[in-house]
Amino acid sequence: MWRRSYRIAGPLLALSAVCLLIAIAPLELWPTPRPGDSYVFNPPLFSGIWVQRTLRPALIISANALVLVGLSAVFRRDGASMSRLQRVFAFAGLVGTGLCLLGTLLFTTAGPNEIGRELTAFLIWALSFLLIFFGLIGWGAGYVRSEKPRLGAALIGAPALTGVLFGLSLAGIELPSMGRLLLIAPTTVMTLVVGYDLWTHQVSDDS
Amino acid sequence: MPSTLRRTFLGMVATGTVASIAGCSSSCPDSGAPDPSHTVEPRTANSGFETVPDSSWPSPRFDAANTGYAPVKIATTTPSVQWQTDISTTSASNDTGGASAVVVADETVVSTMSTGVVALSLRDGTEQWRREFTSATVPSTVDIGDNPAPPVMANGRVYLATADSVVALAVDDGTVVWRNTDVAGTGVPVVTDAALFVPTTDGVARFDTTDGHRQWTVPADGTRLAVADGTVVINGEQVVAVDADTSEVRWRRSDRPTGYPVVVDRTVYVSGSYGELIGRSLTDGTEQWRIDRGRSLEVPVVTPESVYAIERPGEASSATFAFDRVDDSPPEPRWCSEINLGGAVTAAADDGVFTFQRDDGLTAFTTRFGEAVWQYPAEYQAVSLAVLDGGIVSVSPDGTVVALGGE
Repeated sequence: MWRRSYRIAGPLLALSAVCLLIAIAPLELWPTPRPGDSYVFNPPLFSGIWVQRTLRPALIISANALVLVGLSAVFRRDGASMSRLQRVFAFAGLVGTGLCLLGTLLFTTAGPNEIGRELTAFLIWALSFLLIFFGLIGWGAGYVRSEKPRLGAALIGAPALTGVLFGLSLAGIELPSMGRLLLIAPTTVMTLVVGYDLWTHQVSDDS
Repeated sequence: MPSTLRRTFLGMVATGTVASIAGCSSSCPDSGAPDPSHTVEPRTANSGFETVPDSSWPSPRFDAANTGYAPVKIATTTPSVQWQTDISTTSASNDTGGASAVVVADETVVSTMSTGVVALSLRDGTEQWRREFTSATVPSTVDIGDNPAPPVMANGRVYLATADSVVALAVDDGTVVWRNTDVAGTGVPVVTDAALFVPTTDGVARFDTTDGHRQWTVPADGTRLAVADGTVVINGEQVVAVDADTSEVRWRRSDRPTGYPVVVDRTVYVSGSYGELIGRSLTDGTEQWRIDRGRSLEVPVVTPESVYAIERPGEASSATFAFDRVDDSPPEPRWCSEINLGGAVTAAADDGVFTFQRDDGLTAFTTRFGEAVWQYPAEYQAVSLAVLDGGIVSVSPDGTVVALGGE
């Protein structure tokens, strides 16, 4: 039964990649009205404002939750065969992903003037990014040393590349016009690789 | 204390109290001023309209019901200044008392100054004629202080309330058609097909438009009126509804109204001194709905589908609000856009809503979702807008008249 649930987590991770890609699509691609000059109280379905206010937060939360489900499946599948140190990193990565989901929930449900709630969300995000960064890199490094280098590279690459791009952005170096796509590309690739691994590799392969 | 001064003072106290309770911020969740697609170059005036706008704006708020809505289309997303004229200096008069709202009919733009009335060509803004009168004054709808009472136009005539009479002039050359010196004007006239209604020192009076004789007078202290469906609605210390034929008072309510009353589909829209926007039945004055956000909602513009109003929280940025009209229920907000601090005037056409505001100038929004289409960054605050079929005419307090239109 557990083996089947690991396999199901594979397509769920692929779905999270789709959610992320839809979420970062420029609002100019959606019909008017688009965000800008006025606040529209009841925007039409699938308009740019509706996507920004309703669809995009839902997609980001869904993607975040699906990544958490997928990584948890990997942890349950491979936990028994991991070293103690790798398990610690993996657990930190999972906690970080969970905190990231909590921060996203807090931020996207905050009202226009709920500055305290937004500040709390930012603090939780900062903590979650640290945990995700070191947790996933440590977890991935364990796979690189074992016979699953592709899974390891995906787990290391996503936080490392995202961190580099984020750092460049903070340093004032302008990303190309598709910068947002570049920023989520490592995470998207990671979800696809981990999802594929869950779909194709059974727990018995490692044990 | 004169009643207009007392109302201004009470209005200030009420606005200040409401603002302090409301936390001095607009209820619009929008942040930041609009970013329009096109900016009109302010100091580049053309030689005039190639095609003169074929419509009129004969009253300060377009019609006798004060809707502020003209069923026309501006039909351009990239307007330019067609002409600009300073009516305070186009003749040798020592006119320093500010300008009234403009009215437009018969290809003529008319505005009053404190010392007279000026007519300009709608085509290119050249002065057609000027007559000297001491204008009646009314409290400003935008700021504190008084402005000359604006004229109204109908059937080739310009009707004025002056400090010692009520006057009808010919639009063509400004000659006096009749002048009634029995009473002095104290407010903004309203003209219909049947008669002329003017706030006077004796009360609100009805005059025959052909010869100016007074038909009746009702003792009411209002300075702004609306006439619709056989009823005169008077905004004074109270809102008073009077039968337009018999002068019988139908109802009165203590709403402490400000600005112009607006009447559409037998509903009277009243901006109260305490910030609320109230809808009352024209028939008996019963309250149909009320919007009370603790912040003043002013200058309502009412179109067949929408209500537009400026929310002024006091010490913070104002906001333009668009509401959907709902039968017998409060209008429901559709969109809002933050504008800067200060008073504003609005008007609407079929394809746009226009907000003139001190720091941003004139901004044109689409009616449905409030997208900023263009902006005219004028260095002054307008007294009023006249929206025409293919153009807009505005006037500043110091008498600068600007016409926008074309490409």
